[in-house]
Amino acid sequence: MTIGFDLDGTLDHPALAELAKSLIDAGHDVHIITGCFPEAGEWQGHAAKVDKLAILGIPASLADGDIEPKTATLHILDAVDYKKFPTDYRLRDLGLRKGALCFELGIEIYMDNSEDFCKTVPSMNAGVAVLQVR
Amino acid sequence: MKFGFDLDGTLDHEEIRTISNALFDAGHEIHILTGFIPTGTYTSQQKLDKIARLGVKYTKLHLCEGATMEEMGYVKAQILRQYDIPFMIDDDPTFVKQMTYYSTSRIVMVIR
Repeated sequence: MTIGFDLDGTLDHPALAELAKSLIDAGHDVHIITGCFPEAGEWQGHAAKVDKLAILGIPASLADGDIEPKTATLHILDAVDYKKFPTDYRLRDLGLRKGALCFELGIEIYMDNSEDFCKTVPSMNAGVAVLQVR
Repeated sequence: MKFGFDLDGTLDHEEIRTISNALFDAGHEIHILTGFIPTGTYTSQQKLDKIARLGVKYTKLHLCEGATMEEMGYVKAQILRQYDIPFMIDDDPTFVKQMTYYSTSRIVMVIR
């Protein structure tokens, strides 16, 4: 099965991290799709996302690099320029791009803590089951 | 680790069953917490038959009795606390609301 997880606010939770690890170990195709706001600086940059997954103990390979076996694939979506677009537009755009990526990857079930993303993801991928982490 | 799953409307999803069975096979405990009306027409045996038909592997089935959705949701929260289950997936907004309020578990709601 192909499964998608958001990172921040979702895989932070030990039970969710354990769930992801168990699915990776069982040979499922696990994808982590996370938004990034470049203006926030290093603490939220691409390297920080990779570090965070390592701290959580979730083995992952960057989508634009070599995909190691028995790892999740990490997709980092940069938000559009904050100087040109308001916050609500940037979030909506990220949600739609997450949904489009879910469709492209054939994700069957997707978990996210964002109520907005849980609404926009299926609008781009009607077949996906969506679970919201509270 | 212990994981909780609702039955009706949740484990009906094939994708969610795949997750619960993968967790069970990995050695985790799977607890099924299902709302139950003792005087209703949906019997405990029918619940067991449904679980068998769906092919769900599990550790323990909890019939969460109550006269209202709020009451059953409260009982689910009590079970989560009693058994120290840190994670639960459910599709019902009332149950999710009750479990979020009355337990410290991470609740995941099935949106669609």
